Parts: sequence; structure tokens; C-alpha cells
Amino acid sequence: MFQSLSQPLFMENLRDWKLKVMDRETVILFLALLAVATQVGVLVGLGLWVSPKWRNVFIETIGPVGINGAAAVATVATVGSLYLSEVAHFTPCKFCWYQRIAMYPIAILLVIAAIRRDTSPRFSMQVLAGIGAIISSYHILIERFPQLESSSCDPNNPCSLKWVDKFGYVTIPVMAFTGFIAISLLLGASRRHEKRLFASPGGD
Amino acid sequence: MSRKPQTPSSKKRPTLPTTRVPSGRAGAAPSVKVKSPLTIAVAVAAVVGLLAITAVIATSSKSGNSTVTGSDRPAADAAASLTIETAAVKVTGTALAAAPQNGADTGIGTTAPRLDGQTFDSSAVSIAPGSGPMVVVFVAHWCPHCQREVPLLAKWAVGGTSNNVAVRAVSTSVSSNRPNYPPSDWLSRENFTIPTMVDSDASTAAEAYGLTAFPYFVAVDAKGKVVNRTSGEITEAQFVQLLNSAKGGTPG
Repeated sequence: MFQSLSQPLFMENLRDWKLKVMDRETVILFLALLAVATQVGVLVGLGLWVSPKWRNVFIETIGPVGINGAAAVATVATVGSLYLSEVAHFTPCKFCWYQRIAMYPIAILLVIAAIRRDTSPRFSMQVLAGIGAIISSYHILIERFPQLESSSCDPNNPCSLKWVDKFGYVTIPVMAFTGFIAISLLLGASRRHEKRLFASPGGD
Repeated sequence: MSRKPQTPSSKKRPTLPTTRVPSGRAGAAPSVKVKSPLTIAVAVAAVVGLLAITAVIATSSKSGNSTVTGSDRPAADAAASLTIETAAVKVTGTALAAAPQNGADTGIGTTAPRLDGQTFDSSAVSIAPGSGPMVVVFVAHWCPHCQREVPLLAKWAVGGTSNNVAVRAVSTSVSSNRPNYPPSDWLSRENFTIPTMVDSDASTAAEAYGLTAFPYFVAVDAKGKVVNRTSGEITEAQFVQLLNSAKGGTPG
């Protein structure tokens, strides 16, 4: 008797939670929080990198998982970008497309590299991430100063349009920039780590 | 041109360093003591999970028990306050040619069409060229340039008149999916007192006036002829020039 009454209520709650998890606002907030957490991680990582005392710890800890981490960041960025355009129906502008051109190959190639334990695409991916970060920076500037793009709005889809604006600064190009910088840092740590391994006599 | 002969090990593709590769294998990375990747993966997964829960709780507390989705919520709020954001617009007369971004404007000298529609509170409103000099402004709620221009216009044309020239606005290109929706809230926040017509979902009014960019200004003289059209952010001096061209009947 108790079970028959509580089960529909449980199912209803579960359905509400499923709806909430799939809600556009929830996903956007999650992506923004993820970007902020990544920014904190990047800042901490850069801080450790420049500190002679902690550099070794950072490289020895992050280096071995650098490619896997970068593949994960690129995959999340790719899935997030596809969600925003295909599910949330935020139309990508010209610069969004340029950033996609940089991010999507990184995601595919790094996932393959991580599975095959192949470090050969690492340098190319770092270059691609660098190009992506430069495009993101310009896109962020256009968002902050719309007159850089034009003095008027294209009726279709100007790049100065902020589809997402969380915490007063997290927009889509800010998320992309965070992703590109995180990928560069992770791949950099991976490269340094491997260099040390091959340089050290005997390998240990 | 001399190239170093490659050893069999250097021809191999580089591989990820690993702690499990047996030492002494050609081309393979030697073992090294590192923090367990599993620990890092678990820590990252925990942070991601925490962020996901935070996002769900934060949006739940915002929307209460409502299960209205994000795209529908603004529309639901707007309906609750009995305002309209779009409505049918009746166009009488010939539509103007699209305003060129550069070069001569073929729309200058042609008669502007009459527009009959509604304001945000569903009252009837008309933009009737020929009833006196007039400047018609088209704004889009999501356009950052319009967002910068509207507070200025609100100051320059309080109540819809400036220098004895009628100023009328059209809220166009409305989309609940785009930022700064609904436009009624936005213009109310900016103390925008210029009489404003809401455009249709298909932006009928904007199309009838040949809009090609936002914000868009059309100066019409007392006879109903277009004397000036411009788009983009303008200064007060340029706005006064538009008013004067509407009054004088000469292209500004």
C-alpha cells in the first residue's frame, strides 16, 4: 500500500529533476561554473609553473595526464558549444565559427591521441589552441566594445551579441578562451614532463 | 644536406609517458613516480559533480516549483504582466527600398508608408508620415548598439518630441531566445517615453522602412517624404541634424 502511493511521487520527483537537469538555464549555469572552476585551475597551474619551488610538483602531477586532461577539456567545450547552438538555439556568429574550427579538431585528435597514447599531435594542437585563444580574445573585445566590429548591429547575428552573460563576465567566448588556455597549459605540462623523462639518464 | 641516420627507435611515434612500460623497451618512456592519475580524475569528477549540483539547486531556487523551460519563462512572465512584445502591423503605401550601407540612397525622396499597430500595452498607435516632420527609430532589444543608444534617445526626445519634431520608435526583431528580452521591460527600465510600436514576428514595419542594420533612423518631412536614413549609434549633433532635415525637408 505504502509502496503504491510513494512510487508515483518518487517518479514525479525524478521527472522534475530530469527536467531541471536538462533545463537550458541549468546547463548554461553549469557551463559557466565549469569555466570559472577551470579559470581558477589555470591560474593555480600558472602560479605553480612560474614558481621554481613548485614547478616540478606541477609538471610531475599534471604532465602524465596532460593529454587526457586537454582531451577532456576540448571534448566538454565541443559538446557545450554544440548544446548552445543545437539545443539552446543560440546562433553562432562568424567568430564563434572560427573558434569552433580551432576547438573541434583539438577534441577529436586529442581523444584519439589519448586512446592511442600518442603524443605526436601535441605540438599542432598547442598551436591550434593558441590560434583559438587569439580569436576568442578578439571576440571578447568585440563583446566589450561593440564599436570595434561596427557602429551598428547586423540584423541577423552580430558577434557583439552576448547570448550568455553570467557573473558579469562569463560569456561564450570567455568560456572558449578558458578552454584554449587550459588545453595549452595541460599540453605544455605534458611536453615538459616527457622531455624530462627522456632527458633523465636511466629513465627514473 | 647531410641527414643523421635514424635509429629504429627514433622512427617510432612518440608515446605518452607511462608508469607501466617495462624498462629497456626501445622507444618507450621510462617509468617515473607520479601522483596517481586516478586520484586526479576522481578529484576532477568530484568538482564537476559539485558544480552540476550547484547549477541545479541555483536554478531550482530561482524558478521555485515551476517546470517552465528557459525559453518559455520570459514569455510566461510577459503574459503575466499583460504586455505584448509583438503584434500585427498594417502597412499602407509602398515599402521603401532597403537602405544601402554605402553609396546613394534610392529611398530618399520617396513617400514613407503609413504603419498602424499597437504599443506594449495593446493601445493603438500609428506612424503616419505627412502629418508633420517626424523621425522614426527602429531598435532591437538584443542589439548592444541599441542598448547604448536608447538611454540617449530617452533624454533627447522626452515624450516623443524634440525640437518640434515628432519622434516615434518601433521595437523590432523581437526574439524571446535572445538577450535582454522582453523589450517592454528594457525600454521601461531606460525611462524611454517615446511612443513605441511593437513590430510583428516577421518584422513587417522594419521591412516596410528598408531596415538593414540597428539602430535605424528614418527622417520624414512634413509631406511624408523620406529625407534621411541612417543606421548605427549616433551622437546628439547627428540626431539634431536628423531633426533639422525632417523639419527642413532637405536631405541631411
